[in-house]
Amino acid sequence: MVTGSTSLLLALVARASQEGSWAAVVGLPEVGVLAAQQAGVDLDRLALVPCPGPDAPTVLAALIDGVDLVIVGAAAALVDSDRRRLMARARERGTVLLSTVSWVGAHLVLTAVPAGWTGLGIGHGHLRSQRLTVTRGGRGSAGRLVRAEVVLPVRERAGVPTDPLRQLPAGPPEATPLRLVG
Amino acid sequence: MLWVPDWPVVAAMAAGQAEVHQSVAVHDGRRITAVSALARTQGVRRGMRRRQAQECCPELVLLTVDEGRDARAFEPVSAAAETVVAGLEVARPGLLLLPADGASRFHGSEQALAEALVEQVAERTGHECQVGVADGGFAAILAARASSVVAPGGARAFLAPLAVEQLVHAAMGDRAVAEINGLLDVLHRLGLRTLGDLTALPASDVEARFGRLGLWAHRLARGEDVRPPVRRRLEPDVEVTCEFDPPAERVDAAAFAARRLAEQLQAMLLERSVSCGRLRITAWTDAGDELVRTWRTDAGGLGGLSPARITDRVRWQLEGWLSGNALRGPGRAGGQGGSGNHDRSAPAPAALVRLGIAAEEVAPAGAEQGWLWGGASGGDLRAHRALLRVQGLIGGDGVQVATLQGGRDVRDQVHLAAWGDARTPPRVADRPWPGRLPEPAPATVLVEPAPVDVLDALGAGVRVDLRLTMSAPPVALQWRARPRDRGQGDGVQSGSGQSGDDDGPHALVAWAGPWPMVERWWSQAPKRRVHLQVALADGRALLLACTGGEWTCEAVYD
Repeated sequence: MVTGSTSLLLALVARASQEGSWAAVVGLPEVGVLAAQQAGVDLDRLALVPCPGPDAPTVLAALIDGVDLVIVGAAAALVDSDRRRLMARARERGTVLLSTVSWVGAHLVLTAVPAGWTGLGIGHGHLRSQRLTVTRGGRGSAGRLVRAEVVLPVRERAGVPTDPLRQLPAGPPEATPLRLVG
Repeated sequence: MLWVPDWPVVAAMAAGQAEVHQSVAVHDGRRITAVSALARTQGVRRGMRRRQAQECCPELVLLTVDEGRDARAFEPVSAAAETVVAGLEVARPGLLLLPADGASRFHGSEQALAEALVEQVAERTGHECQVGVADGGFAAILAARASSVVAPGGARAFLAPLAVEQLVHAAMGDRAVAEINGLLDVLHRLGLRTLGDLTALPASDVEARFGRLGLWAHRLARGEDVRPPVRRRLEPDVEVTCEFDPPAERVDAAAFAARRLAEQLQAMLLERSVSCGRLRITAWTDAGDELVRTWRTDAGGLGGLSPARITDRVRWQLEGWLSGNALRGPGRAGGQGGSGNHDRSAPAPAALVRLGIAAEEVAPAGAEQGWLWGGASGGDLRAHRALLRVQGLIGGDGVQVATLQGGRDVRDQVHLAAWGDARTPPRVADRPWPGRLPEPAPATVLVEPAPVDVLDALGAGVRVDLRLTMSAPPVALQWRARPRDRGQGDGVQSGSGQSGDDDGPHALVAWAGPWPMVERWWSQAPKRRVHLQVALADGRALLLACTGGEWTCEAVYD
């Protein structure tokens, strides 16, 4: 579960997308496709289902079967029992579920709070990069709260990614290969 | 050969783009490519310029070429033809190639087969079609145009008196048509008027003079085929069953039979060199119940599906069924498509009388193969299948793919198309597009722009005049309540951090702009707007736009 920042979500998807995974965005009609492309998401392997309608659980179940990364937005109408069933299915199929709305029983919860932008002055400049304070929580070993500051967009120079994390006390939430995010 | 005349026009009418009583033509931007019968009576011909066609027939309805539409609409026709003849080839939308030998023996004669085809297509789709039977593909096309049957071995004699111009009908694309027209022009000037004249020449001479295309024309004129037809073959589900006599009441007895079935299935799959995506286990009990459960096979197709594993799966399933759990209730919910409603209260364990294993989603083996490390290849194939299934659930437009295109606005730069359609963006992205908004792009683009008020230090609205000077520096931002704000806006507002329309003005800590954007100023409806990037005190950043004095929030950088 990733709340508070669509950019953070896209940055997470970008990494998997570059490694050849397919991604599907369900029920998130306002996602900025241009921003996704600039974050590094391969648009050839991105499918959008903006309005799944009343069949959202069936649609998500079908997508979990074939797509590696499924992003669930607010427009997908789900109840908690659907969520539990989808999680079980995702666990069986090895699919990663990412949600932008609250999800009961999520394994990993990333909550982003905007901490300001750089590059913008009073009447001059333009937005360049964003600082976010990201709090990681969740179940099991992820239950220990970790707070880190993330700078987006992640800029890679000469193939070496500059570390987007600062003052991090423990494991980076972004660089680890995520197995299952509720 | 089955031919539906003027298919692009018929398809457009079926799609509701034109009425039956209108004269319709389809054009590709320069020339007319298909004409309806009504328009033809008015003198409109294929290959005419658009202007010329309108001259002949002023009330002509002109439609643009849409190959996707043609192909989609033709699918029911080929399905209808498939009910009569199996294994057909769609040469192009509007033209079907089907093998007549076996089917005509079945129906009694080629004439009867043709009648059956026309009847089925008319009954199931409502389109009129013509059928021709001949030896080669080219002769069959011409026979279909004349709605005639050519006797076996008579193709060459049938073709000989026809004019060489008929070769155009064998062309399967626009470029091929242009090439063939060049060839026909030369043939005509050399005095070769009929196909018989052409075949009278030795093939080697024709090839020496006209090259590959000449040889192609010579072969067709002789009534031969250039290549064997590529017939559509449906991969049927592979199924094996066995009967239990006496009925099996114990799991091990059934599992023993399942082992044999699994080996049989494996051998059949190997023999056809296919793998399967799903395994369906069906059991019939002596009480007359049918229990069905579908398992997905592991990624990697057949590799992970040895007889032992199939047997294991069958055994797990049977243990549930034979102990009666499945019949009683909750375990049953997992079964897909089982006969769902009868005796849930049956307490007695059931005995099996028949067991079947079927391989579904059969695909040629090798499309999915395990990597040395990690998962299986064929992820693209799996994703395609999943997306197609979703399209089947919520309609073709429900699944979209995005491509980038040229443009300045955030919305203009994204081109959305339904999954599976051609996705060539209408504007090229690698042109300069001066005045484009700087990177990074906003991550949330509001579905509908939200109206806002931009206030200056005195609390008055900020205006931008024609010379792009602002009346005062912006200081605060006020969300304006929308009339139907609680609709889809809810998710958007919560996505941007908080619902912002109820509280007071937000102070701006930084802003940049105004950046003008004027598009199509030469047209009747020019698009003039001014963009402003602002950062709020709570760390959010917004993209505002001003059109005609009204400020709206277009997107959120979050």
